[in-house]
Order: sequence, then structure tokens, then C-alpha cells
Amino acid sequence: MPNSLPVHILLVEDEDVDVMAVRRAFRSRRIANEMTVARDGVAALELLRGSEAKPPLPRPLIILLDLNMPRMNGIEFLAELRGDAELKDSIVFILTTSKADEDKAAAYDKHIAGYIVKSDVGGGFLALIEMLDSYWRIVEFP
Amino acid sequence: MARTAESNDLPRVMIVGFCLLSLVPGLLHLAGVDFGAELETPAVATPNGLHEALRGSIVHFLLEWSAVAIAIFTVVLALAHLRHERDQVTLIIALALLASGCVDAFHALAATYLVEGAADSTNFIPFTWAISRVFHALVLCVGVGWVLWWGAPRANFRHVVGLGGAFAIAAYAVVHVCATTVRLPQTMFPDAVITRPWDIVPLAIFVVTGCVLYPALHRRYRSAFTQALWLSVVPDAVTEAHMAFGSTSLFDSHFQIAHFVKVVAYAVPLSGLVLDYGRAYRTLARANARLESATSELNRRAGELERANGELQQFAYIASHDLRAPLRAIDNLATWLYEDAYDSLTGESREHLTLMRGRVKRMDDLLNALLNYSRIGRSAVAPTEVRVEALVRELEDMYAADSGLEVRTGPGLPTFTTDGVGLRLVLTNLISNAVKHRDEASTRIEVSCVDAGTWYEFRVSDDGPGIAPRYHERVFEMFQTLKPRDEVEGSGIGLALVKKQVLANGGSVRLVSGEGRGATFHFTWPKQWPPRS
Repeated sequence: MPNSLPVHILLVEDEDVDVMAVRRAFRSRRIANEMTVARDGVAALELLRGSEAKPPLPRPLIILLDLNMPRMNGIEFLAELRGDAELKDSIVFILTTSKADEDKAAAYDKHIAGYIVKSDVGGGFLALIEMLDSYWRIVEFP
Repeated sequence: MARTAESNDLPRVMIVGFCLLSLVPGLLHLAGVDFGAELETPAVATPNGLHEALRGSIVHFLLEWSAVAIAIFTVVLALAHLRHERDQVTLIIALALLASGCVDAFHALAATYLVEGAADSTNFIPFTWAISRVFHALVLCVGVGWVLWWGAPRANFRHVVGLGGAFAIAAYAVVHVCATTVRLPQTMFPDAVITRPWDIVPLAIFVVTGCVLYPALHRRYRSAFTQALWLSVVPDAVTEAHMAFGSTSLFDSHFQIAHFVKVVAYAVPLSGLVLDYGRAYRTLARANARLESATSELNRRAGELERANGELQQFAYIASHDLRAPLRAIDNLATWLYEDAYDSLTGESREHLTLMRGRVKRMDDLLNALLNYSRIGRSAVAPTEVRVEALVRELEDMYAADSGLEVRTGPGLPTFTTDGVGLRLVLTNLISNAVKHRDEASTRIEVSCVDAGTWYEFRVSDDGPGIAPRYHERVFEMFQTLKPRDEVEGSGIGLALVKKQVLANGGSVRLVSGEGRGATFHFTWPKQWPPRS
């Protein structure tokens, strides 16, 4: 494995059932990596940068980002992220319902690693999990 | 003639004014005012003295020429009015006035010795007056009479040209005869009671036209001009009266009054015509203003409609988009329940959960279809080259492969550049519909095409159970299905999608089917992209 430490996952998602679905998918594939959940962009940034109460999230790190969230949506979060010297090299996968071309273009404009549309009803996230599992086995993180 | 809502008549003020203008000079004369300026031998042969002596002649010439100028102007305005209102009657009468004016001009030139006839000037000049008056009365009589008899059909300019030509020729003939005849009859009898008996003739004619012809004309063609023409009898008659009974020598008081009133007689019809023209112009301006305000109202409404439409589209998009998120959650939870609690569930409960997932899927399909429906005609289309034959084969693989139905591609399936996504949508829905509604006796689906000028007419037919004519309208509505949803899974929106897409291109769609076997959907698709409207 290229990364000596296990990869930490930050899931930025406000829909509870989707969070549950991701956790279930990980469990079913027996992937034990630690996952932190943030409800929106503001909370996510706080976790990434750390606060007085908590240290910043450990590296290496993968961010799974939804686009439609309250307070600060996915694109705004990405903009902040890429503007932060410490965080700008983060690896981000978009995980969203929107198939809209404008959203895709705006996201790739912020140099995401991939844009994944949450499958229609009945999909589950198994394929995503398998992809991620392969990803951090093969790819060197910054 | 202009038929405006408002009164076509002359304003009372004008009528009274012109009558006064005609009568007042005569009354003034009776009161002792002398308008005369008889020719006299100048006391001193200086230019001043000459002009003094010739005052009467000069005034006469001016008055005559004013009359001619008014006649010319009347014709010009009548021509303009013709272009506007296609009013030939006015032009015919104006041409009559012009011809008369020309004869008057001849008389004016004769009276100032600018033109000399073959005859002696003592007879020549009064004769030209007499003949000009008779001509004036007659030409108007003929003109009005002709119009009353033959009418003045709008499309036909032959009357105008013909009559105008006839008037011109008549005027010329009169002038020619006057100028060349050596012995002209005497027309002025200074010592008689009726000093100019030749003026009785026009007077009589004016009375007749005034009582018979002009009223008939005004009744038939109501306008300010025809009414003014009628009114002009007054000054015309007054002129004749002054000349016939009053004037004993050249440029005496009655003579000058008569010539002045003659100008009034020419001015009256012109005033009427000016009124008509002004009214026509105003009517047009009003109509224009109404049109403009209607247009701006229309634009405003169109803008509102555009806005409302946009809002509706956005609403449909957001609604279907945001409604699908909780659906996904419900589906997930139902699935997890099914998976995790399988062993502790009864068969009935397992079935309930399965049905639940089925309904959720159906709702998701409906929302998806609604989303697609709202997108039709909205999203930008990138035209691509489409081989329809290949497209049909592809759809056959996707929808008809396991159905046991043969998909035939008829002749005429084109290859062309068009909205491939839209065409695919239409064919997909029609083909999958045919597959969905098949029965045991169904064997095939056929897709063919016919060239129809700027359109292609596609036909998708099957030999399944037909669709009764009374349902032909309904099948194209949203969410309408012909079979219970548990028998045939379908959103019921497929045909509504087809209709909306086809109509958005300016085409048409129809269903041909009876209660017996078979149904054929015909739809037209533009050959060009973007489609020409």
C-alpha cells in the first residue's frame, strides 16, 4: 500500500439517510477506515482546519462532498478549500444528485478528483466504495 | 368616400360664413359702396398713372387667377385623397373644376389683352366670360351626372381618365372656337334690363344642379366635399345674378363683386375637400395610435406569459428534483429493513416492503418523466446527424428484444441532421408503448417514413389490440393510461412527452386506430434544423 497510514474519510452531506447508506456500504465491504461527517461546508472547514476544542482531521484524507447543502454549498466550500494554503491539495470526490452540466463544469473547474451522481432509487453506494478502496490502494496521496 | 363615425358635414360656421361672403358684397353695394374700377384713359401717361387706370383690370386678373389656382389645388388635393381613400368621385369633379378653371384662365388672358382672338375685342372679352360660365355650369353638370349614372367603381380608373380627357378636350375646343371665330355673338347689352342675358343660362343650370344633382350626389356619397359642392351653388348663382342683372360695363362694381364671389365658389369645394382630407388623416392617426397601444399591450402580455412560463418550468424542475431526494431515502430504508429484518418478517410483511419499494420506484419514474416533460423545448439542442434506421435497431435491442415482437423498418427512413435527443425520445416512447401494450396475438412493430416536402412523416404501427377512437384524445394527456397500472407499468406520460416534443418543433401527431387490431402513430418531424417556422 502506498500510504502508510489508513486514509481518513470526510463525508460532507446533510441528508441523514445518505450518510447511513455510505456507512452501510463501507460496512458491507468490511472497510474499516474512519469516517467523519459534516452537515455542511462551514462545519467541514472547521473540522479540516481544527478548532480550540479539536485538532484538525488527520492526513491522508479523502473528502466526499455533496453539492446541495445549507449555509455553504459544495461549490462555495470547494472555492474556500482551494484558496486555503494548507488545504488546497485535498482530494475531493463530488457525490451529488445533480446531473446538471453547469454543476459538473463548476466542480471540475475547482479540480476535483471525480464527479459521482448518486444512483437513482435502489442504487446503493457499493460501486463507489469499491472504487475508493482501489483508489487509495494504488494512488499516492500528497 | 370616407365613411367616418363622426359627421361628414360641413360645420355650420363654414356654411354661414360662405353664404355671407357671397351675399355681403352685394348688400354693401346696395348700401352704397362702390367696388368698381372702370377702365379709363390715364390722365398722365406715367407708369403710376397707367397702373391707376388699369386698377380694375389688374384686380380682375388677380381674381380670375385665384380661381384657377384654387382649381389646380383642388385637383392636387383630390389626387392625394385618391391615394388615401380611393375616392374617384372627388377627383372626377375636381377635374371638371380644373377644366373650367382653364377656360376661366383663357378669359382672364383675353381680358388683359394678353391673348387676342380673331374677333373684335369688344365682343371677344365678354363672350369669353359668358362661355366660361356656361362651360363651368355644364361641365359640373356632366361630371356629377356621370357619377350619379355610372357610379365610380373603385378598382376602375377608366372613368377618371376618360372623363378627365373629355373635359380637357371640351375645354380646349371651347377655347379654340372662341379664339378663331371671327364673328362672335354679342353678349353684353348695357342698356337692357338683363345686361348679360348669356349669364341666365348658367344661372338656370345652377338652380337645377343645386336642386337636383348636387343633393343626389351628397346623398349617395356623403362627404364634406359633396356638401360643399352643393353649397357652392349659392356663390355661383350670386355671381350670375350680379353679372346678368347688374353689370353694365367692364370692371364696374357688379363686375368686380361677381368675380370675387366666383373665387368664393371655387373655394367652397376646396374647403370641403380639405376638411375631408384632414378627417381621413385624423382617422388614420387615431387608428395608428390604437394599433400602437394594442401592440404594446400585446408585448407586455407576451412578456408576462414568458415570465410565467419560465417560472412554471423552474417550478416543475425544482419540484421533481427535490421530491426525488426523500424518495431515495425511503427506498434505502425500505431496502435495509427488508435485508436486515428478513428473518423476523412474515411473508406478508416482506411483500408489503416489496410493494412499498415498487411504489417508490413508480413515483420516481413519474417524477423523472415529469422532469423530462418540463425540459422539452427548453434546453438547448445540439443538432447531430441521425441515422434513423440505426436508431430504431438500437431501440429494438433495448425495448423489444425479449418481447417476441419483430421490428420492421419500412422504406424511407432517412439520415439527416436534427435534434437527435428529441427524435430518440419520441421513437423510444412510441416503440416501448407498442411493446408494453402487446398481447398474445401481436407479432410486429413497423417504423416507416414518408417524405412530405419540408417535413418527414414517420409512422410507428403495431398489430396489437387497437385503441378505441373515444380514447384517442386522452392517450396524449398526462398520466393517462389505458390499462390498470398493476398490469402494465407505465407513467402514463410517454405519449404526452411525444406530443409535446413534436408540437414544440411545429409538427403534428395523430393516432389511427379502431377498436379492432392495430394502431398507427403518425408524427411529422422537420427536415431542417433548426426548423423553419
